[in-house]
Amino acid sequence: MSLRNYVIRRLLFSIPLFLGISIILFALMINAPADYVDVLRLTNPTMSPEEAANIRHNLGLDREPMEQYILWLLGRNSEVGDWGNFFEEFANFVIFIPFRFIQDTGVLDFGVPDSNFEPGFIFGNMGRSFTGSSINSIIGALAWETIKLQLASLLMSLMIGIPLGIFSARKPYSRLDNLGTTLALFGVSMPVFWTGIMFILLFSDYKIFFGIRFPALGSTSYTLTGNEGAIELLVDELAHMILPTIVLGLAGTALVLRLTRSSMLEVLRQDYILTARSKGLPERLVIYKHALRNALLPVVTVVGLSIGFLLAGAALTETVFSWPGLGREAVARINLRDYNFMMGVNMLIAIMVIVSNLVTDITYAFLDPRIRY
Amino acid sequence: MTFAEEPLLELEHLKTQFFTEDGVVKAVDDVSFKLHRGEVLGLVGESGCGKTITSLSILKLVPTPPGKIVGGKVMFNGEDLLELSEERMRQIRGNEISMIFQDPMTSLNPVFTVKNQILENIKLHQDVSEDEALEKGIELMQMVGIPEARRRINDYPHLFSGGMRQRVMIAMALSCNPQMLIADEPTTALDVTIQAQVLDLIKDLQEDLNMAVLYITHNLGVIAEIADNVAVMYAGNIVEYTDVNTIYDKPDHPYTRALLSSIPRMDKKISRLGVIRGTVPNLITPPSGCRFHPRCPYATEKCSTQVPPYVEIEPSHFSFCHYAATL
Amino acid sequence: MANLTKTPIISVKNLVKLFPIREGIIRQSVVGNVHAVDDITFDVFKGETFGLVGESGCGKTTTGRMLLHLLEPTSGSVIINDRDVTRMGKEFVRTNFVYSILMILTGLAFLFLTFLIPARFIPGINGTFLNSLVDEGSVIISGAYIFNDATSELELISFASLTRNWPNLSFIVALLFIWIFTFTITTFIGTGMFLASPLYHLLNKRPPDFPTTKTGVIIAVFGVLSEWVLMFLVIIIGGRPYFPDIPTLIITLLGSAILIIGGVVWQRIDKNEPLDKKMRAFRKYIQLIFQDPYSSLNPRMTVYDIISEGLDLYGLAYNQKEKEQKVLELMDLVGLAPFHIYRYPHEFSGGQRQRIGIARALSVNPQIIVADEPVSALDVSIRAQILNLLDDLQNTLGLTYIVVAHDLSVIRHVSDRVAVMYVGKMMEIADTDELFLRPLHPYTEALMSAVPIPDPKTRKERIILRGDVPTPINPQPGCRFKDRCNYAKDKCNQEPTLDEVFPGHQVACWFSKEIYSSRGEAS
Repeated sequence: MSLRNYVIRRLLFSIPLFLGISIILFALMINAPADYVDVLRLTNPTMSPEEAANIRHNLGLDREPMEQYILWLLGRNSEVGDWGNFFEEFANFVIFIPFRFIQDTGVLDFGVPDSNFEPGFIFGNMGRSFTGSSINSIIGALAWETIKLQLASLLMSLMIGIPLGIFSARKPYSRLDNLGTTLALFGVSMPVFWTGIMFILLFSDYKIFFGIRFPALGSTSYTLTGNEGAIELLVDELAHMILPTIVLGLAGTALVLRLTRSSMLEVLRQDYILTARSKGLPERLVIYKHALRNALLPVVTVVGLSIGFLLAGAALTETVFSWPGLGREAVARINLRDYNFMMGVNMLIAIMVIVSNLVTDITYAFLDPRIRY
Repeated sequence: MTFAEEPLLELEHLKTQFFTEDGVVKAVDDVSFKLHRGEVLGLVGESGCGKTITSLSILKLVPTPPGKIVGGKVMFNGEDLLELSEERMRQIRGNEISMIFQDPMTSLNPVFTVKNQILENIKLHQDVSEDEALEKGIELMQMVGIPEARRRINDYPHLFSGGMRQRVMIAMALSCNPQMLIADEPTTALDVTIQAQVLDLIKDLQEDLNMAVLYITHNLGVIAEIADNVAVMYAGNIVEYTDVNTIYDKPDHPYTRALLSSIPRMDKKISRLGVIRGTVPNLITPPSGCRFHPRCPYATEKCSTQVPPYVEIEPSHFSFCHYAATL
Repeated sequence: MANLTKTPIISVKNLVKLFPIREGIIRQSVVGNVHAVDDITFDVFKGETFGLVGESGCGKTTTGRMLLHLLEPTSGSVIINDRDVTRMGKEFVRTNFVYSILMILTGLAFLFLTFLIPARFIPGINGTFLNSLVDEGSVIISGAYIFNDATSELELISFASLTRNWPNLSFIVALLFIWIFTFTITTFIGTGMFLASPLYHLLNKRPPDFPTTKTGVIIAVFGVLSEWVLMFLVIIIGGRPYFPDIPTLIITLLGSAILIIGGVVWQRIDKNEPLDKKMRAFRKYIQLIFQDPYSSLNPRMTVYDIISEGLDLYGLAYNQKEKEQKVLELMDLVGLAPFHIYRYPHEFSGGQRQRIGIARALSVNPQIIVADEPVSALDVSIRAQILNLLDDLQNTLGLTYIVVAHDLSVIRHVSDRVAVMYVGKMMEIADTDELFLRPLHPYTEALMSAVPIPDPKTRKERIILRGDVPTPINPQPGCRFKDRCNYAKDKCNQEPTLDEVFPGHQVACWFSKEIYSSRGEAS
């Protein structure tokens, strides 16, 4: 099968997968004890049962779970609660999608009728959070902060982990190798929230690094006046990234180091390395040309797959560092029982996992010519 | 066959050992032999007898640690390779001494094209441009009998069959016209008809280029086909050295004799195979005296206590046995 | 070996094994076949050693595996001792497939109907209708009266609405888990369950000759119980004051039964190795010796465990003492010392491991042994030991051997008769001495000339074959060897038949006689 067919096949098969994931997630959410209104009643004990029922009704929480799921998946019409014209409006919306698209690009005016239909998940719309704002726009606003941090830490783990791993593999059981593997073990085993707090304490509070206070709260300074130049803003932003990046990158670095080391050791035992040496190639070329590309294959797999889980892993670090990203937002929304938002974030994670899996497979096919799908 | 001139390669009392957690493995113990230009020397032995380690020691490619060449000399063209710097060794590897390996499926790097791997060798040792190197590479591939060489040079190794890959390996090894080729079981992983093709190819190229070939194998049939002289190895020692006709007609060392009687033959019916009792010894604590004595039907008290001498029974027929020429 | 009774113990007729190659985006259709074994026919006689020789990819191993039923033949038949054993597992799997698909569909439909459709989505059933039913006090509809917060009234919401917060989804999720759980246990434990199912025999329209296994019943009971326990756990942990009424109970009970049967059937689908009594009897009859003594023995089992496993499986030892006695006998037979009995495979050398493998094969007193490259992974000096051992065992136990090997010297040494294979086809079959004296097929001739002889005086002009072995994927019609053959003519585009040219000497070549007579003139 060609790579193209493989990708198409995988994408097609991921559609039922998404549906399955969304059903399970929805079922779990809907059955969690207490809902958004219960949380509201905690903060506002004087709320009457009628008021509560009213809010539930407006949010559609009093519907059958099946109904709620269908509304989330397909979209909801203007008259919430009325099934009478749902299918009509839905069909109306679907039929006019291409016309509306052409009309919006300004090429032609078809006179598409106005619709109060709010498209659902299958149209790429995550819907509205219980507090009223569009989930797509919340995610859009916060995603960059999270991605920025995650990419920086990923970069750190690759740039430190791979060279150290190679070094460890070339001189196995040497002192530096032992030091590296011990540190790697430390990095893997320490929980992020603990290292996070320790780092804040040491580098921000006690200023142990040449008396410099590293910023440890938020992604920018509170003291910005708005008159700073682009460079100042950039420096401020980068300074804020240092601690969370290191904390987040520690575990990744350790993982990459251990992986690179073991796979490099394996590759160095292969016959083609002996062939390369018997040609008289300098050790540098043997390692960096012949061994490295083969040794990186498993690293690519693991790193590729972990990209999918980046969002999921962000919550702790972002909370510890008050980082205004998706992870912290998700934690806050869980406490609010904002199920719509949680559905949105969880589906985003699912999409990222599936897409990163696919991308890893494709990368693998390019790195290893033997792979055929 | 006689070779009047000075030997190209001369091993003198080579000793290679592996320092493992369980103890010191005396993998190659006091191995000496000579190899002349245009000669094919067959190094025969069972697995674990040290024949591969001997060849790796010549190129100083023994994995270190745990391996280490602890003594002896490897004289190549009058220089002791063991004394040379790593940089000088790199100029010799792949240029003056080349090597091909047992398993063509794993000895080519799977992620680079054949072109990349052949040209790498040419450009490393010769001062040629990219285009010249490519022409040379294609010429080499044609020489070893790969059809459509110009197109196939851009393929990855996995697209070649086993026999073709071994041809690619040979092309790569011969790319700098080496004076000597070390072939470590180059046909063991191949089918019989393909083995015949590759053996034929090696023999032809060896004659054309007047190369010295150190041919390592466990297959006594292949040795009979290709070698001029034969050295039989057992447990790190060379137990017998002579020319190829003598080894099959008048084997002297008890191990050589037993080995020859234990192989099934295609050309004649043998009612019952001869058997060497016991198993290959562990080389961390090899048997004292003659290393073959626990399995030898003629062993005496002397064999278990004294290391036997190299006895020259006839001119250039050596046997490593106390009772050489008397059994 | 000396007095061969010429009764075929194995008779292979037109045996074919194709491995399909599939391609396509969603529905993967067969675009080609690897013709691993393509229409071969041969007999093996009682007490002889039959050698199967050929290069890699010629189908010799596949043939060996098919004789042992480790692979299912695509077509053709294998008759062992006058019993056709070819379809032993095949029909079983196929009927099961149809049956199990039906069962699974029923199960799904049941699940959907009971739990997924709220009452109000069914035409004609609306609130008024339901209320009227409630008013009339009818209990036909299985549902529950529940207390609604908002209206402070008793209300009937749907077939399966169980508690306040739209719990039918929770129930569905729970049931999904239960379903998965049931599938898992039945797949992993319940091997014999389906054999007990009368439905299978009904479907098969033949009297049940499979024994009803106790495990099957236990699994069924366990499955139902676990489902019910889990269901009530869901209700109790969820803190929901609900007890199902009788109709719901009945539906759920029926559902569980269907689900369990579906689950049990499901695990039959992808197992093409049914362990019924016949199959076991068959395996007792024919055993395999593997090529690689390093990976064919379980490293976590002692020699005793490895050898006694067969004794246990076939009930060949009545007590512990007898079992140990038999194991020691077997070890003695293959030349292992008694003190080896509680050692693990890694403590042995390759030759000794191969001896363990032989003892394991012999433990069930087989009549036929298929040896797949028995010595190719061993050292030269060890080979002779194992070959002599196999020879001795044949003489003392009267075994029939089928030796699969690529090494012609080994084949010549051990075999009484030899079959030469090439790209899935049988090229030549003859008595060993006849074949090596007078090879009639050009391929056999080339193969023999390619083997290096350990005698420098016989260095000869070899027939060097051009090119590589052709691919067995969708091969060209005609003789498989024609592209490499020196004698090939137009007629070779037709497929040659395996004809008996001399008594007991079969060749698949159009020109074997001409080649033979021309060679006679030349020499």
